[in-house]
Amino acid sequence: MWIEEVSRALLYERGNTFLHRLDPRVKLAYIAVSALMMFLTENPVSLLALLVLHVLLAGLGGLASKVLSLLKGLALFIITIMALNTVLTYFFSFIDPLSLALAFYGMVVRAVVVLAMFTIFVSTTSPHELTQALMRLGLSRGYAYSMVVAFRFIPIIFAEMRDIYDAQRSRGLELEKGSPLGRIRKLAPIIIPSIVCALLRSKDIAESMESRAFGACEKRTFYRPIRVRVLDAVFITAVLLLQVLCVYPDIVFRIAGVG
Amino acid sequence: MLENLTYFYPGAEEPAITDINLEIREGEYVVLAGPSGGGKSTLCRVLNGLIPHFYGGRLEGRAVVCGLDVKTTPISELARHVGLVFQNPANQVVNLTVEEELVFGLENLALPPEVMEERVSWVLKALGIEHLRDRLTYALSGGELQKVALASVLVMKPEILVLDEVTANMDPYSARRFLELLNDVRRNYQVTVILVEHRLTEALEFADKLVLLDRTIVAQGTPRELLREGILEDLGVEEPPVARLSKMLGVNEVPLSVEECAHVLGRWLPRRA
Amino acid sequence: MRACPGEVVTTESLVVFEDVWYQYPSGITALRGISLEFRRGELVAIVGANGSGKTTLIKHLNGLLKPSRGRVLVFGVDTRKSNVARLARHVGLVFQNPLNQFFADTVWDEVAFALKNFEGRVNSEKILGVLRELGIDHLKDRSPFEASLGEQKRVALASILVYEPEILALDEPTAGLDYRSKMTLLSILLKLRREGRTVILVSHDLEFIARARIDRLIVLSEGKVVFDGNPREAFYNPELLVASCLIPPQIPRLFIRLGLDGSSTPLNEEEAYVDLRKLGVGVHVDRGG
Repeated sequence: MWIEEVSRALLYERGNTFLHRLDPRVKLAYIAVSALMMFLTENPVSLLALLVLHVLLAGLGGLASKVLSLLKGLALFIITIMALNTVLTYFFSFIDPLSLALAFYGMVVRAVVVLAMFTIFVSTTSPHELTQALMRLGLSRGYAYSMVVAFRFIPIIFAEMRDIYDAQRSRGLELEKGSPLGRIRKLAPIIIPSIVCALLRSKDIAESMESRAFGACEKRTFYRPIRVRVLDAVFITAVLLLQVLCVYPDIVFRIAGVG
Repeated sequence: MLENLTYFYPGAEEPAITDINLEIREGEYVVLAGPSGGGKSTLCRVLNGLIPHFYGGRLEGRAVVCGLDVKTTPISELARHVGLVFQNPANQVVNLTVEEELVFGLENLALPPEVMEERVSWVLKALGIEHLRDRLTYALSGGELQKVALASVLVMKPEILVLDEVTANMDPYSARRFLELLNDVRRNYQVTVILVEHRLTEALEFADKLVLLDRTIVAQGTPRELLREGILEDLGVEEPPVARLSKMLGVNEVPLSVEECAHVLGRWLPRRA
Repeated sequence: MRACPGEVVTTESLVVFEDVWYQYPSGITALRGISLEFRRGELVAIVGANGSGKTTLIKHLNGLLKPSRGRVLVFGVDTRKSNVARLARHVGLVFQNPLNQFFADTVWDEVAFALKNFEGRVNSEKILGVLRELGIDHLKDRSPFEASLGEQKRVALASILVYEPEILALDEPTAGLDYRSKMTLLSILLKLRREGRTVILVSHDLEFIARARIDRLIVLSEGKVVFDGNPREAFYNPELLVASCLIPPQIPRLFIRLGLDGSSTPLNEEEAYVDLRKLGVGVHVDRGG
């Protein structure tokens, strides 16, 4: 199922590639910079160059297959939305087909770039690292930790919903049958227990965290502190320069004295 | 030490526990038993401050734990001295990897990384779970998860360990192994252990003291004393089958294990060659 | 080891497992070649350690899971050719956690749910009847969430019993219960047995099973049936139980330790008392003084 493909692509996996070793704050900067760069140009060749750059980056981190499976999972979704967007724009604003085609192309490329960046970030940054990065950037520990907790409990919540569904099916619940409205009402026996269990679970989680002194000290220490190192500096500089090259090749060449 | 302790949950008319007077000394292994709804979990939560600070409500009387007054000491301070292990390890373990879970409490206490490293290695060894260090928590079995939960509390080196029905979802084999492990930990590292249990058959073998709670303390004493007096049955609390059998046979001693019982009853049986 | 079931009276076979294998999508093979028959009127206990395949097995009874290999016949129907709603009409499954099913405002509505699904209308007499039988009629207008765990488990049981399935399967009914609630459950089970219902109990609580007067014990270990027959034989075979990660109840362990297991095989204190008295063990006690 596509949702499983997507979730597998987004799963963090331990590794020792250079992408794993980068400080998460630097990776966040990479995303911010790249997002900006993407919108500074409409030139199709530049966009393609940016795409290739990001995919290469993913490949260097051993993530090419993940990006591909994510793309596979979401391809239909992306193409549909983009196509719909393009068609509607055409009907409402009489732009010529060539520009529209270019716009469509631009959207798709940008979408792929975003997915590649997202995959790179999520697969090489453990939620714990991300939490630490956010806390160091100023986010309060309560909000930051709630992300880790959410991640941790996603598989459990899914498993529990399956159990709930099983239990209700065993009492004769059939979701496939009935009018659309009837089917929605039939969801109550699934949704209500899910919510109840989730609420009870959150109380247990809170007790567990409080009982281990969560919030005891203003300044928390970290077992594996993140640090910005030479690798990070090199990475972010290289990425920035290469993207500028893609987006403004003529400026760069002129500066370099060619032509 | 608890004196005349009474607690009302917010909005409740009836107190969950009334007039509790209990003294627990350093190093004791206490088993807390009683019917469901009798306030055992409530009492556990008083010991580390969840009651009254997390739950609200009204706490009357005195509760002093490790020299600290529960009513005025915040949970974060009490948590340094009292570790609480809950019934459902899946909800207690909050992080994605075992290592992260173990350092969680230590990070909260702002300990330096070198100390954390030491403590993590120590607790992994003490519980025999070094091989689990890098594992993802959602991939662990129930028994492994419960050990990780215990480790994540033990790593903070509390003086008192409180365990609230931790074997409820375990099969008896795992439960027994867990309780034996707990006993080893207690002997090797001098912690005071307070265990809330329904499955007394396994737990009573290790206990110094048994406390029976049904909203108020019905009785306290050594397991043998209370079994002899027959209070457990009246309260609806499980008696180990061998103890029950011995009482039915009119035997004076109260065995707590199969071995003991065999020894005691063996007297009436002809010697086997 | 397939021992002949000694005390089963009837021979009508209701559910047949034919060399069933089941593999989860994650790759774990939970059942390896299970071949079993469940007959009308039996009180069967399936025991095994966590992870031995017990829950997987009972989910095959009503089609929640279908075999990867082999087949399961429920009243002659292959589960792969049927669906859960139809099979659940005959096999009622009561799951371990009542909170996984509670959604109604009152216990009454909760119990009525299955009846509405299977019979299309609400039969008040049946609902009241089953609530009384389980001793929870005083809760009928209360929210199921307010009840204690023991009461909640009985509500869950009521919600299945109400539509009178021919087979009742219970998954870990004693988990988390205090002694008193377990004894209440025990008396309910014994009553069902007297009424001639077919009940399948999945549990790892051997002390409870030892008092439940079951007809037949099935031991599962790592997805295989390692014992199927007279419970006394299994309880007095510690090697078998330990190999399956189970602890024999105290009384059989005691009798083995005393070397008496050759002549008598009691399962619980009452039976042990009788046997030991006959051997002259114990002091004569005048319970009046």
